[in-house]
Amino acid sequence: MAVKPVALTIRAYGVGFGDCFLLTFHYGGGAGDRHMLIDCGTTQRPPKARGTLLDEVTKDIADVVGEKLHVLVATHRHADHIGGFATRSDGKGPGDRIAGLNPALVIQPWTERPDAPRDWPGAAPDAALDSSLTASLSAMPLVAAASLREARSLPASVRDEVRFIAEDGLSNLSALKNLARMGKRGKAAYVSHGSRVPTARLLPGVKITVLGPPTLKQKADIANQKAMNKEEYWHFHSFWKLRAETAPLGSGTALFPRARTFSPRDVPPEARWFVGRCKRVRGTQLLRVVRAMDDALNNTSVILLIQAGNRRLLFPGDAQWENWEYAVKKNAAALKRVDVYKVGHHGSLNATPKSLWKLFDRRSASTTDPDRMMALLSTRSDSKHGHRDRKTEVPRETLLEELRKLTVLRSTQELEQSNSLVLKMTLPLRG
Amino acid sequence: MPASRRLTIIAQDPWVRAGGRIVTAQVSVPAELLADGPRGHRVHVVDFDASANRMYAPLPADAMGTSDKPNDPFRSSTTRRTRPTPAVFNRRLLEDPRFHAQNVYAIVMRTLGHFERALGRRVSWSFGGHQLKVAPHAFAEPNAFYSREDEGLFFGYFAGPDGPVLTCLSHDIIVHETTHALIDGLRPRYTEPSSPDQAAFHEAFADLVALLSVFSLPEILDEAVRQVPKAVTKGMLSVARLTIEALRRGVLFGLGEQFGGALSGVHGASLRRSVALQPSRTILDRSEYQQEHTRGEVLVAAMLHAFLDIYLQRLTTLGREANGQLPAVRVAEEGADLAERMLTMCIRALDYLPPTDLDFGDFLSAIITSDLEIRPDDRRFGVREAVRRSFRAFGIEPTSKFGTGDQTGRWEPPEIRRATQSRREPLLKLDYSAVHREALQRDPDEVFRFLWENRGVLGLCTEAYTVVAGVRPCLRVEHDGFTLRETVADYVQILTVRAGELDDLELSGQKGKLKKPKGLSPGKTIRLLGGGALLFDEFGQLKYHVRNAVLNPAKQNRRLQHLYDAGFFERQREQGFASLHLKGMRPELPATREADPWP
Repeated sequence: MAVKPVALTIRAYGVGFGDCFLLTFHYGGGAGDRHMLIDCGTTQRPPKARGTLLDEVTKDIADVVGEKLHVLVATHRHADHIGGFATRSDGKGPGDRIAGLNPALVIQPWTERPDAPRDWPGAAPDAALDSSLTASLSAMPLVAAASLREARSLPASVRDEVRFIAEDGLSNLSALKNLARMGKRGKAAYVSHGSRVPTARLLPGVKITVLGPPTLKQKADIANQKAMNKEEYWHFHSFWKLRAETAPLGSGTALFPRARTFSPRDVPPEARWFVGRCKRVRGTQLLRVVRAMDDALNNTSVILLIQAGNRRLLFPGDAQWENWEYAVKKNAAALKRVDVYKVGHHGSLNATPKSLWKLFDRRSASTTDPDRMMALLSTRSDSKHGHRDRKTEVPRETLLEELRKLTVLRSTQELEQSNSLVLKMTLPLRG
Repeated sequence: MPASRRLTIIAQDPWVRAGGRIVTAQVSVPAELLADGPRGHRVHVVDFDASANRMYAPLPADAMGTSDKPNDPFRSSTTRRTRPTPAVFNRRLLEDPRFHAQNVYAIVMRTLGHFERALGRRVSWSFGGHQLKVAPHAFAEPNAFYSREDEGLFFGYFAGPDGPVLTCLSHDIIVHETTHALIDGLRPRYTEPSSPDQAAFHEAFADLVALLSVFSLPEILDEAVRQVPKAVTKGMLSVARLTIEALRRGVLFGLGEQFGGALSGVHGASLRRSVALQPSRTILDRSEYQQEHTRGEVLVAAMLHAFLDIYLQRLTTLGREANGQLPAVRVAEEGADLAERMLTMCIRALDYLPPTDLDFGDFLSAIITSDLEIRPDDRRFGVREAVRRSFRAFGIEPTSKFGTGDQTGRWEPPEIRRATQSRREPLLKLDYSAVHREALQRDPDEVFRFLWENRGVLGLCTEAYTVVAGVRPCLRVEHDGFTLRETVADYVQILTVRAGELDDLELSGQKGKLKKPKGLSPGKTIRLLGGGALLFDEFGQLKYHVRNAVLNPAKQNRRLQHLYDAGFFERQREQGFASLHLKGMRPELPATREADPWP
């Protein structure tokens, strides 16, 4: 008889604005536990947390896991999801600790493939489109770095948000290298919608379905996008390429090295009002650029539907509509019966599309309903993402109200008062 | 103080070169007592770079000379001994931000001058202040735009294949953005959500002014004419070699290989496409021309086609008197002169346009009427006929069906209506007894009194909020010295109703009924806009009433349906039309499709 897990423990680490989930499948009859880590990172720690938070988190993970991490998932390359995989030169960084757990399988989105074979089954109708998307993604860290540099002189009203989002988009090179190295040592899976992941031996009795991100070919297959896809991706590419090339021009004396300049403090009085407006205009522009970059990277998120016993868990990283659209169209039936939903993008307004939300059959207003859906939210209070007055705050209050009303909502915000490290839930599995 | 001063500018952009040298031109701008910047009475150049967080030293006032003895600090030496090599010459223009400050100052002032001369009065900026601020190196971003709330023009720079591309060195981009600022002052309602034509008009008119402004420099037309194969030998042009098609191609080359190439990131591409567009009477019905940017290209193409047509006719006439041979320099000057005339004609038409919901046919009727007023005799150039013919070739007919022959399509004299539909009823006449003619030329309250007393005759909607937006006396002077005094006033009417009330609105004197777009919630608040331009002659008599009635069923139904189809009523909360239109990213931000975000 096949081995099946009898219970599942979910650990949601209190990383503030970020994600870090450890799933432990308990097998009966002395078969032991198997572990799956989904993301590890933060860009804004919980209010009382120390600077060594990711060290503490990874130490706890190592204590729970012991010697073998079976599956590691890095949903996408944002720092708040992979920052905890960065290594240190002394070999004692959080990423070194995770590497020490010898993950057997490392799952990342297809956009992170180091070598893209031209004839892979998901190739776009026009082969150059694949590389234009990956080239755009690799141009973004340059834009993020320039935005971060420029943010220093922006007005306070936009400075923090530009900086916060831009920091998330930096290259996170150390973490990416570590993930590639761990994948090489064990096994690497760069996945897209419908990819089969080799987890049968690592997590027996657990079925993992990849619902996203779609490949460009899959996106082109959605009828209403056929016509626009090619132009859209070229446009996308030229937008980021041009900005990446332009980024160095805006630093210091790059444009006219020999020209006489004033320091900002010496701007003549008659020009000061307008100089302020220039900064404001630039801040608004940069905010739009870094937000677009944030959306693009969020949309590379791996979406996993995990079935264990009678439970279905949905972990979508930070996927937004561009990513969700294909799964909502193709996998509507499977999405209906989700028991545990990891709320997308820390509860932002556009990562839980309403068309997805309406699919969930197990939403229930009854607090005594035994099948009532659970919503898992990893976020923090007063995050720097968005603004309450612009109705873009994260988590978005209207979404929270709905989650409170129709699900058992467990949020890492619960940890902020107690200053505990982890929210732990154990669910029995039947069938 | 002399009336004007001459300043060196880059004729089109740094890629248009002759003998390796960037083609420059000296242009006339009003002489004024300048301060460092340059900073004059209408323009203040502030060279702050927000990306680098530094301000470049301004062009000092001393370098520009005194009011009595103005100086052009970047004038190139013409004597062979002191003339710099092309490399030195080009470097001096490209690497000195103070020249860039002069370039934007001179081109913005020249454009303002075109508007003020054409309209015969001062033209105000929309933001209330007197000095438009200009940032020539505003940020490291492939973008240039006008912003009403920031009272300025912003020119970005970006990486090009051969070094930085500075949008502040492209003549057409500077004129384009300045024109946005000027139309915004003259017709602030043209950024309101309306028809595809109105959305296209802001961009198209700015392109039109840019193109004619560039052509009004003989240096550029000289380059264009020399590009026509075998047309120019030893400085003489053979008129027989010229065709519209050959001239069109010459214009494309004259504007530079890179025109619309390196600058495609900003806006050159649409202007280049306009030049290449071939006439078709059904072009505006095609789906790809429903979008505001492409639709605007059609208007620019129609005017350019008319320009080339008249230019060719003119050269043929002149050539006939000179055995088919004309000095190339004279040919360029003739073209530049024609461009200047057509530019003046287009700008004058603005005063003869309704202040809300215009379409391309309105623009054509406005051109015909305003030109007829100041230049009744069109035999020499045949401009009106050529424009009408060219617009028709691109599917644009005048809105007005009034007039015959040379006057076909002009606006009608003011409507004199009967109180009822009965033909036996006497005509109603405009009543001037309650107003003072002199005050009618300057006082908005007096114009409102005139409107109020004559609201029945003029067909105003009594229920609507009505405001007189401006009263401006003008003294227009034509090239030949003919003068025309008139007063231009415009008013706007706003009627706010629920969508469900549309069907029941009483429309006196209008045919048809207003209809709620199918599917629109009856409780939705709808803002109907209307208004008119009033043109009084020098004796205070109303000559024209160019209007879009707030309760005009045909126009309002079309507008409402268009806005509904474009999803405007769902997005109403954002109200970002104006800022998106004028401050869009170039290339625009890649679209992110979103579904049902949390409100």
